[in-house]
Amino acid sequence: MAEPDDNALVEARNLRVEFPVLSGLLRRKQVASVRAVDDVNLAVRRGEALGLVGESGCGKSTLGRAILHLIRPTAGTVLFDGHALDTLSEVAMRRHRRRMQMIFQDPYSSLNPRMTVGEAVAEPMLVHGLSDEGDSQEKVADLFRTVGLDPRMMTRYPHEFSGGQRQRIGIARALASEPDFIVCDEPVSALDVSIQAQIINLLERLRGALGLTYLFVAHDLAIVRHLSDRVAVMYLGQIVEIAPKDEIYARPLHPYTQALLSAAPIPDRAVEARRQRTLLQGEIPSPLNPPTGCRLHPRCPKAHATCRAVEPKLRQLDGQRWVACHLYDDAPTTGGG
Amino acid sequence: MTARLQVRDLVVEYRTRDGVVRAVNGISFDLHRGEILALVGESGCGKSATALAMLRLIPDPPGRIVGGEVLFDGLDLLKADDAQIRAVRGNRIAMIFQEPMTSLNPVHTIGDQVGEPLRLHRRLTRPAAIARSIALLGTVNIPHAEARIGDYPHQFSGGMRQRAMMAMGMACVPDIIVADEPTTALDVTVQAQLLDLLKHQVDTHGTSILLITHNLGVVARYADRVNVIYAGRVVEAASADALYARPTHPYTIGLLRSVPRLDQPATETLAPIEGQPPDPLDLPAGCPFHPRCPLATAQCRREPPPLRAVGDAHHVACWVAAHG
Repeated sequence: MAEPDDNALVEARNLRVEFPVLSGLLRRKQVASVRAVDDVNLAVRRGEALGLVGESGCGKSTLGRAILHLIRPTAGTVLFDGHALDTLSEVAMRRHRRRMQMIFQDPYSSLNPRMTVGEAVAEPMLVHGLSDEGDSQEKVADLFRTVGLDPRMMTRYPHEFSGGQRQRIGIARALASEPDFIVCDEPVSALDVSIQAQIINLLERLRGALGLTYLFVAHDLAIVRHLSDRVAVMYLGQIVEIAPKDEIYARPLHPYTQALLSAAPIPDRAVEARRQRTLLQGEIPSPLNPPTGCRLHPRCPKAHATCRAVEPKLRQLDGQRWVACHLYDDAPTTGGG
Repeated sequence: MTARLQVRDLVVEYRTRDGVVRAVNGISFDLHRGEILALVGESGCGKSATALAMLRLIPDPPGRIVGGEVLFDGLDLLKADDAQIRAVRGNRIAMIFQEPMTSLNPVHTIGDQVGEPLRLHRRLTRPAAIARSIALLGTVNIPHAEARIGDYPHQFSGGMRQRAMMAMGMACVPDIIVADEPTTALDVTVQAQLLDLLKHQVDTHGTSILLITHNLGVVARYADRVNVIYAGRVVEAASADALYARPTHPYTIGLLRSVPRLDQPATETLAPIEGQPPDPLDLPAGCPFHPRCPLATAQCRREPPPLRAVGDAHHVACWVAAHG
């Protein structure tokens, strides 16, 4: 089921992340485990922006963190530039760490309130030996200009900045270690609408200028469409569809992708009036006790007997499209699969 | 047609350590029977403070309603005594908040809370209220409602808690539902279900809904009329059709241009609104949008523009755009 890709910078192979469920007031005992990421195969190609979408609790943020080894996977492997991260020595891991960074949803909670923002941006450079005390000031000033901040603000503290400015600082800090790969975890969802576009444009410009590779984790499908080359859709810990972005928006295959697209409103009155909508029923089931067979089947308008019994595998259809759905069992498969 | 609710020149202030913030600065609007009126704006623009002030739910201190009228059924809610306002709240005007976990009481069962307005305002007995709650939870699509009625809020998922809040809001078949970002914390597939339920309430009972949101897509799909709010003032008021066909205030135009759209290939870079939202403690003189406005003139920097008609029931507070 792997998605083999010669041009992958980052690859998750059969990646699984489980969290223990504890019970008991005094003596906490593990009574179960939640599989937040369940056997995921995903390749992020050099220079691409791969969008990872899904609703809260689907495991998309956990997958992003597990790919960076910020959370240790329970099983499976992450290959970064051909190296399996779990086999690296501590020294080698640190060398790789420099090349993989993360931009968080809430930059406020990821910045130390007692450090000036200039110090916060300089820190990764010093840690990774990319700069010494002598030239770090100049490099930080350059980074401030790169993300659209006045370098004179370097001596201020995080609380003195607005949300949009703080996200620029978070981006500057991520860029400070000169990474190749950045996981952007909902980078604009905490920002006001009028500020979101500024940050989206900045991320887009930086990718081109610095040749970055992004894994862009988000729940807003319109923003993902704007920033990504390909899109992967996640539901209850599993990838259900992968496709180039224009194809997935024009012709979504998986019923869940179809429902996600159809549920998201478009800020245009005339367009909304014409839209046909398919609604899913009910809520996302608890990942503690996922449904048998296809995990969407209790909510899926197209579910049949097979869907309730047999878990569909992610299969490659024509070209670059992958889908995990029994509706396409008879569709011709090319390669992989 | 007379309005069901009239808000006139509402002014709300908050006293903070750093000074007095005028969160709502002279907002007026009418809400008619069977319509969905959206108050749309960004965080801190005063849209939620407007809704809270209408029902006298502004915590004082630090907040204070400084002026205005909220006329409902011959009564100015801002001058009503406690008994009068209690007879309205939860009964004829219900409120649905963004975060149901903070507005549901964690130590009472869902059934008791959904049934509470019925016991309070309709004098139903507890068993009768519970029976009615089961039916209400069914209408908001909570499966096996009779089995879940004894659950506590923490046993419900976020989407189910918001459904329960809606059931509570609908319990007395109110004339007006004030919904403050009712689905912002929820996933899109659940958001669509719940907003459809609110719309259904309008269609079947002629309920009026004041929908407070920052989401221009939600407004396009559900609202009949829209007030765009910036820095505590209405800057554009129009029917939803007119607002999307002919957005006129530079802020409205900027918002609509800056959001990426699901139905458009990303061939162009987005056109953001430059600058930062205004500091409520230090609002600019003249038009509050002028520091971010591409069309600002000397007059905009000096005098705040009044709302003026630019078309049929379409009003804009802008010195430049209103001239066409």
